[in-house]
This record gives sequence, C-alpha cells and structure tokens, in this order.
Amino acid sequence: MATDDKASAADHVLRVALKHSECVGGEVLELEHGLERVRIDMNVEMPLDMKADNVSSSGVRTCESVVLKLPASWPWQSPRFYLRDDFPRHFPHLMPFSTPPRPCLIDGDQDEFFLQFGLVDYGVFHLVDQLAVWLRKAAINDLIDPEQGWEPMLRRDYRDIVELDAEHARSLVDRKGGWAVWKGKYYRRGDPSGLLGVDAEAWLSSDGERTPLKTSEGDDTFTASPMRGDMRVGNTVVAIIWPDKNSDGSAFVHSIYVPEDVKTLGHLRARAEEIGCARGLDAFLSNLERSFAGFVLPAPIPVSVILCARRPVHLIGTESDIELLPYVIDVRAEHGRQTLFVQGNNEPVSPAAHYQSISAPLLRSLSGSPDQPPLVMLGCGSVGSKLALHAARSGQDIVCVSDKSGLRPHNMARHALGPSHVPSSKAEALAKELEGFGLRPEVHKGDLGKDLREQKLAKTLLPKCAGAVINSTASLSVREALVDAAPARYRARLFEAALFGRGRGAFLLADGPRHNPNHADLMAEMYATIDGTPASKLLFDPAEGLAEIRIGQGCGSLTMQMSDARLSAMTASLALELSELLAAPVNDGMIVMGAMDVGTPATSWVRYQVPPFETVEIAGTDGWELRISKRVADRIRAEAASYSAVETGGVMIGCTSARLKTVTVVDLLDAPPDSQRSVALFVLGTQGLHAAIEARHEASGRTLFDVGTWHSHLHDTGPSGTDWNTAAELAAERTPPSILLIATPTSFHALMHTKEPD
Amino acid sequence: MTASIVFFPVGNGDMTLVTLDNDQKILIDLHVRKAADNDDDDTPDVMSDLRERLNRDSAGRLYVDGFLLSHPDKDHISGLESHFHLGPPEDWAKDDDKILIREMWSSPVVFRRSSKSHTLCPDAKAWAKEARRRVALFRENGTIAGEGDRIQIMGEDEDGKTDDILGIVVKTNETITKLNEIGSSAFEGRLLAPLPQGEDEDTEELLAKNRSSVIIRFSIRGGGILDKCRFLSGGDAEVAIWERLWEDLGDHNAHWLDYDILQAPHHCSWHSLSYDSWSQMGEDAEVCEAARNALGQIRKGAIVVASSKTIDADDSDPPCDRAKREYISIVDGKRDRFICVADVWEGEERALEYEITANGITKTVKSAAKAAAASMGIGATASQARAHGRADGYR
Repeated sequence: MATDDKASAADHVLRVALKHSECVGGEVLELEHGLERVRIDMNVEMPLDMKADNVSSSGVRTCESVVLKLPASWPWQSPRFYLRDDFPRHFPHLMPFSTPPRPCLIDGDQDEFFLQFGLVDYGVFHLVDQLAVWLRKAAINDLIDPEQGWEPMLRRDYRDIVELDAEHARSLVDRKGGWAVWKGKYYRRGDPSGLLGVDAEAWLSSDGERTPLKTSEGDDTFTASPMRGDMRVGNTVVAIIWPDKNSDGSAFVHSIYVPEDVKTLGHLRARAEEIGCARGLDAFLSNLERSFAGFVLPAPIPVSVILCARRPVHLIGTESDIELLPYVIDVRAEHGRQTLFVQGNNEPVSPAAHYQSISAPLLRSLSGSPDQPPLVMLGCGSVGSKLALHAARSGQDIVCVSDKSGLRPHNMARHALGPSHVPSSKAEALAKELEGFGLRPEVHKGDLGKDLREQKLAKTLLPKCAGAVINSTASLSVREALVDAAPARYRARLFEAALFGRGRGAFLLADGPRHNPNHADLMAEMYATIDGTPASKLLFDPAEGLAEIRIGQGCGSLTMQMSDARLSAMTASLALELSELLAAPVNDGMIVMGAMDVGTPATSWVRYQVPPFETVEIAGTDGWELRISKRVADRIRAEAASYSAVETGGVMIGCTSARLKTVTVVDLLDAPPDSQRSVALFVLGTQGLHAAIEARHEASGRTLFDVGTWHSHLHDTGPSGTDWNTAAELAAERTPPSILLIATPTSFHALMHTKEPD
Repeated sequence: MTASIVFFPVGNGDMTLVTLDNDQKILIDLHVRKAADNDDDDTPDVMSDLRERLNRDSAGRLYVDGFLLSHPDKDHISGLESHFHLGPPEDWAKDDDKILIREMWSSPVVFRRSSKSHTLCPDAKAWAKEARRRVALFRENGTIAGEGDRIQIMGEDEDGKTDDILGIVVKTNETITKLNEIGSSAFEGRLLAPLPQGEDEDTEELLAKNRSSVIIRFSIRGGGILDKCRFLSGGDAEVAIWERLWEDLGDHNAHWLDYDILQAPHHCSWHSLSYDSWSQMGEDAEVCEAARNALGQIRKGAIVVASSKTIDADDSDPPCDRAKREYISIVDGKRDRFICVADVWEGEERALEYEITANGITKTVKSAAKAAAASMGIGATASQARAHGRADGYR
C-alpha cells in the first residue's frame, strides 16, 4: 500500500466516525510506533441530574475522548479503542491490565464484527456506535444486565489454565462457607525460576477427587517429574474456597464488579476478604504450609486456588450465581526454608483461566439438550455407535453397550470409531471411547438373542436405571428376544432403529406404555400401513429392501454399498427423533419413517402414532395371545354393529411369532360375496378370497398373510360347537396357526385348534 | 416497559406522548399538519411515528389509554378527526384503522358553546361532541363506561355544568391517579389549572381568556421507582395564570410546580413570562417575577423543552428568543438544557425522546442500524440529479 493511502486511512476513519450522531469532534493524531491514530470525542447521554454535573455517578464524563489505533494490518483488522488513562476501572467489559483501559465493545471477536461489514465505513461506524452504547451503559453502570446475567471477570487471555468441572466445584458451595482440596495434575512449561503468567505457564487439571492435605514419606500428593525439554509434569492440588455466611446468617453476596488485578499473595488475600473467602484461604494456606513441613521438593509446583464468588444474579450462560476465580501459585519447598512463601504477601500469584472439563452438564449446555435418563445400546455397529456418540455428546449417560462382533477393517467405511480401535470388540471399543466423555458403560459381548432371555444377564442388559433401550441390531431374533425379555412393569422405553434401502430409508420404533404396542406389533402395523409411501418402495424393493436391513451388527454391511455420509445423515435424523421422543414421550407407540429423495439429500420424515394393541388370550392353546391393532379392532366392532340382526365376519391379516406365541392382526379382508349371514350362523364364502389374500401378501412385501377369520355373535356368548369344529378344520388344512375370533357385543373371544386340545 | 416522554416535531404546536412503565400511554395534544400526512413533503410524518409507538388491542385497534387535550386550539387538536376514532367504540372500522381513545381527559370548556370570543375549529368541535357523548353516557348510566366511552373532566365547570357528574371530574389542586380506570401508581398527576373561579373580578377578566388550558404536573414512575420524573405540562397558559399559581402555591405548595422537564408554555411564548409586549418594548419588556417563579421550580439537571419551530432572534412571538433566554437562566444558565423540538428534528430527524428508568431521565439516541445507511450516504446518489460524463475536470 502506498504511503499516501496509508496516511489517509486515519482521516477516513475520523470522517466516518464524525458521521455518528454521538461523535462530536476529533482529530488525527501523530503516528505512534508507525501506526496511525485518531482521537474521537463522544457525547455520552446520561440521566439529567448527572448530566448537570458533566459526569455520571459511575465516573463517565458527558464527553469522553477515545483514541482509535489503526493496526498495521488495517483494514484486515479493526481499530483498537483506548479510553483515557484515568477512566474508572470498576466495569465489566473492560480489558483487565490494559493501559490505557480498553473497552470490550463486542460480545465476541471485534475483528470478526468489523469484517462482517463489507464496507470499511460501515464497520467503523458500527464500532463507533458500539462505543457510544458502551459509554452510555457505563455511565449508568448498566453494563451488567440482570436479565442477561452477571458478566464474569475477563480471564480468557491468561496463560495459566485450570481445568475442572465448574458444576462440581459449585456443588461444594454451601451457605456456611468452607474449603475443600482436590487432587490435581499439572504441566509446567518454562523456566523453573520464572514467573507464572510471564515467563512460565501452568496447566492444572482435576477430576474433582477430594484428598486430605498431607505430605508424608511415599505420599504422592505433590510430585515433580524431571524436566523434559522445558516442561515438567506432576501431581498437585486444587483448593476450592467458598464464602462464609454473613453474621446474620444470610448468604454472603458480592455484587460489585471488580476487574481481575491480583498479582501477589497480598492481593489474593484482599480479594478473598472482599468476597467472603478470607477464612477459607487462610486455612488452606496454613494447612498447605503444614503439609510441606520437613518436606523438600525444590522444583516449583503450581498449586491452584479457586475462589468462589457469590453474585447477586446468575452468571451469563449458566443458571449458577457462583463465579469461579482461579489462581495459580508456585510452591517451592526449598532446603532450610522458613516458609513456603518466602516473599510473604509479595509472593507472586497468577490469575488463571478456567477450562471446563468434559462433563454431562457442559455437553448438555453446549448442545442445548435436556437432562435425559440413561441409555442402553444394544448393537454397536455403524448405526448404534453413531447414536451412542450423538447421545454422549449431548451429555446423556450410557449405562450398557452390547455387541457380539469385533471391529474389522471393513467397518471403517462407516463406523463411528476410527481405525485405532481395530480389531477390538465393538462393544469394548465403544465403551473405551465413551470413557473419554466420563461414561462407564457395562460391556456385553454375548449373543443378545440368547442372553436377553437369561434372567441374570437381562438385569445388566435391561437395568432399572435406564430410561431407554435402543436396539440397533436390526436382528429379528434380538427384536423378539427384547419383546420377550421386557416385562410390562419394566419402565424404560424400548426403541429400535434401523436403516434400509442402502441407507435411503430409516425407521425408528418406540414402543408404548407397558411395552404395548411392542416392536413386533409396530413392525406388523408398519407393513400394514406403509403401502404406497416412498418408504414402502425402499422397504419392499427386492433389490434394496428388507433383505439388506441388517446394517446393525450382522455381516450384511460387508456387501452393502452406502457412503458414511448417507448413513450418518439418516442416523443423525434418527438421533434427533429419538431425543425428541425421550424429551416429550407420547402416550402411544410410535413409528418414525424417513425416506431420502433420489438425487438429492432431501429426506421426508413421517410419524405414525400407534395406540396400544388389544390382546385376547387364545383358547385351546398353551398361552398363545391374539394381538389386534386398535385400528382393526374398531373396524370389527363397527362392522359387527352394522349387522345387528345377523352374524357377519371376514378374514384377519397379520403375522405370527411362534417364539413369542403371538398372532398379530393388523388388517381385515371383507367376507367374499358368496358368504352367508344369518341369526345364528356366518359362513365365510370363497369367491375371490384366495386372490385377495395373495394380493394383500404381495402388497405388504410378503410379510402379512391370513392368520384366521373373525365373525360376530349377536349375544355375549363364547365359542360354539360349530366354532370349535371350524377351528379343527382350519388346523387340518394348513400348518400356520389359524385363529377364530368371535366378536360379541361386549368382548372378543379367540380360539385355535391344536393337536392336543385342552 | 420503559417509561418515556416523546415530543413530536410539530412546529408551533404540541403533541407529546407519555408512556408509563406499565405500558399505558397518554397523548397530550395533537398537531398533525396537512403536510405531515403528505409523503412527498418534508414535514415530519408524526402520525406514522406515533402509530408505531402504540399497541393494538385484541380487536386489532390501535389505541391510546388516555388523550389529554390542554385546550381546544387548532395547534393542539389538528388531525383529530382524520386519525382518531370518534363515536361509540363498536363503530370502529378496520378499513379506516383509526386510533381508539380509551379515555378522554378534557377541560370543562366542552360545555361552552362557541361564540365570537370562543371560536372552534372543526377538530375542536369534534372533540367537544365526542366529550359530550361520553359525558352523556355517564349521566345516563351513573357508572364509569367501558373503554372507548370513558372520560375524565379536568376541573369543574364554572357554570355548574359538572355538578351532577362529579364522579368523572377531577377538581383543580387534586391528583389524578387513574388512567383508563387503572390506578397502578405508575404516575400521579396534580391538576393545577383550569383555575377555579375567584372573587376578584378584575383578575377574572384577565384569566377568562385562556383559563381553559389544563395544567398538570405529572410525577412518573421509572423502572418501578416512584417519582423518577416530574413533568410540567401547561398548554398555552399565559402569564396571569402562572402568576396566580405562584400566588396560590408559592408559600406552601411550591413543590407542586417543580419539574425535571418543563414543556415551555405556548411554544415558548413571551406572554407566559411577561405582561409587557415583546414586539413593542423589545428588551425593555420585563419578566413577571411570580410567573417566572411558577415556571422556575427546577430539580437537579432539569430541562425546558420548547415545542415550537426553530427559535430565531428576529422572529415574531412565539417562539420568542427573549423567552428562551429567560428559560436558559432558569436552568442554571445551561444552554444545552433548553431544547427546541424543531432543532432535534433538524439534527437527528427524529422526535425528542426521554427514557425514564430507575437510573433517571435520559435522552435516547438514534439507533445505529437506522442511522448507518443515511449517515454513510447510502442512497445519496438518488438525493439529487448528478451530472455525468462531463469532461470539464470537476469531480
């Protein structure tokens, strides 16, 4: 850039600033370190009574001169704003230590704010406007907006870091006051004799495990490794100190904003005094001193002190009113010392930034997720692993993971875990990954189809504490075993998630209260109602359909072509639906069905709510049960009622499970035209019936078939002799169970002929 | 809701909106000049500004909770018929979309017939008719009517025409505590005028002419804190009234007159401060000390607002430069505490607005989003015809 252009930048900025109604004057200043500077004079509106004094109650003047320095990289970076040297310091949004003081004009990165305006003029104008707003607020000390919350002291630029779970630390705080010591680990980089925050820096972390403060032979509360390069690591402690109560017993609240300016132990004691933590700090420091008595460890060991300040309102971005103020002090246990802190109150102390360690509350607040009950993941394949990580990243607990297979190289095409986990067991690998999120799930590596039916194992697989069990195995045997294993009183909601059609289709089943409808009911209901939808094309397509549904844990995925992106897209949507259903449970069962367009990633999702199935014990069997979709049961009752003078009936369509001993009815076929209806007898005709059953079978992707017949009785009477005879005839003609359902005006009766009737 | 006072730029006239911290709004006077409704005219479009500041009720009607007419002169009531719904509220029509006046605050002058000495413009007649309709409803039913039919009469009628409707009359020197039947302590108004009839006939004659101006000293709650702002509003009341007020109140109730914001009476007219003629006597004209005292009870940092056109030393009265100087002397000689609404429009293209919060009374500042484009000259290309393609070296 030519010098002429450079020289004009300051003029340009001044010209733009003067366009602002509150900018009432200014001038271009001389270069400083080769950088251009501009002074602008800002009018500050304030209440009339303060205006009369030309200065606000907080010390802001009605006209404030502010210096703008143009950075060398102008206009790629925004001007820096400097207030007068004696501008009052007791404001939040004022950068600590900066001389002269600098206001924080933007909630975020000022350069980003500036650059969002394509026109430099616009960017400058808006920054000047932010300055005008900032000054007006400062004038009435309104920079902390109680609605928005308390502005924590600015600490983000500190070099020393303390990493711990803030919620855990806050949970220690009670009304009475006190202190606690946690085990910690540290990295200290830089000159061992150097000053923290200046020529050395420390990173301390603690997982919140309490420790007594003592140092004895063999004790490893404090350790220091040899120097590796310029770094040393070791064990240390973190002290959490919270305010004592007021003399009248009320909680101590500190409501004056002060910038962070602690530099020495003396300052730290003064700060502790201000916020009610003086007793705790003294107690900790003297205990620390005592614990080192007779102990020599010449390397500097950074120790952290966290002062907990109670604020009058919650902090911005959290519900807590406790602000954590972390500091780091180097402890040097030298030979022949009088005290650990030889410089007394002049001992340097470095304010530190706090990093939140991974915790469920942190993850929940970052992902905006509610606190939800723990999950069990049955199946840790590509779908299961992704659902699990979505849940873990939202701060949800996972108490059990199960998969019988191991991670193989081909899994790397789509599995959530990376190649470093090959060839461990999928369940173990997932559990290990979840450990990083602070989760400790039980690991199960057995065959779910078998183990779910074993009472001992079922206690692990279906723990009481779980809020939801997610079956992503896409295995029919696991589905049935799960239906079988979950008694009505088991409170967790059961879910099944699966993809089909090369990942272009997906479904999520959520069973109903007391597991009715169950997943088998929901699958039958899905087959009965899905016909004609985009999903049905995918589901019933012989090339892409159900045959390939086994993406969860079987070997099906080996041959299936599907990109990780597509699988992730569908699985992510399932995860959204899942958390939606957990957050706002419906009173019925639910089928969620998604189908992706051809050629674009647009996906349509549909939810079907399925009320509980009506169940009828089947007479003549050893505990078989007829399960009728509410939709179908209502149809039967309506049709029976419409033939009030004669018996009527039809054919029931559904499916059966020999393992669950259930016959599930999800559709009806009308009685053929040659059927006969009379007062005491209904004779089902045959005309066109076979073709109709065939067609229904095809339309359901060959999953539904005729499972028996129904007919009405005009009075509340159970099966007649004729009914039993018909049942026997039906049984003789085919092997699949054939049910006779009798609909009386008030109830259903079901019977089936078995080889050895009761 | 933040309480506020907005002075609309209406030249020599009054139009002031007071918003209380319970979000009730009271409009004091109206002066919508014909040109203000014309898009192509530069006269500030105050009705659009006002409408943006009002709320709609459940029936979709824009409304003010109260409308105080200080006195029925043209520069205080212009635009009533075009912009406000008059007549039974149920006759409000969506297509007209006029503003509903939930409760009128009117001086008893509405009971007087127009005469040679008391002529009324059409808007003033419409106001009187609407007021009489509402009074008749009260007289008929004996109960406070519903929203849109309510009225409070500010002061008793000297001929006894309000004697049978005292339930809706606020007597002079009493306080107004309800707006549209809501007594929320969001404000309190002290009714200082119209002055009740006295015994001294000479004074009476003098007062008769403009006795009808309503003077109210509002005490307004800000951010939930009582009495954050005292606002003295006196229509066109002239020197005799202020002199008399000081005589009546000066000894024991001077604090009824103190203020943070004074709307300079009669658009900064000299005749509110002096009996002498400015045009004839010029600088020899003398200030009436009592009137000045009545208008000079300032609280710390108080300001005087002139709702007038720009004040020019050579111009006729009102507004009067001599009056301006007197007001400046009242506010501790601080020129920046005397604000002319027209100057604010000139400089900022907006109405003059003060917010009343727990911190005090603060002038609001134009928002940058609105200001940026104009300040940066975006669109300036279109503001005048510009020559292009000339080769004469001008840039």
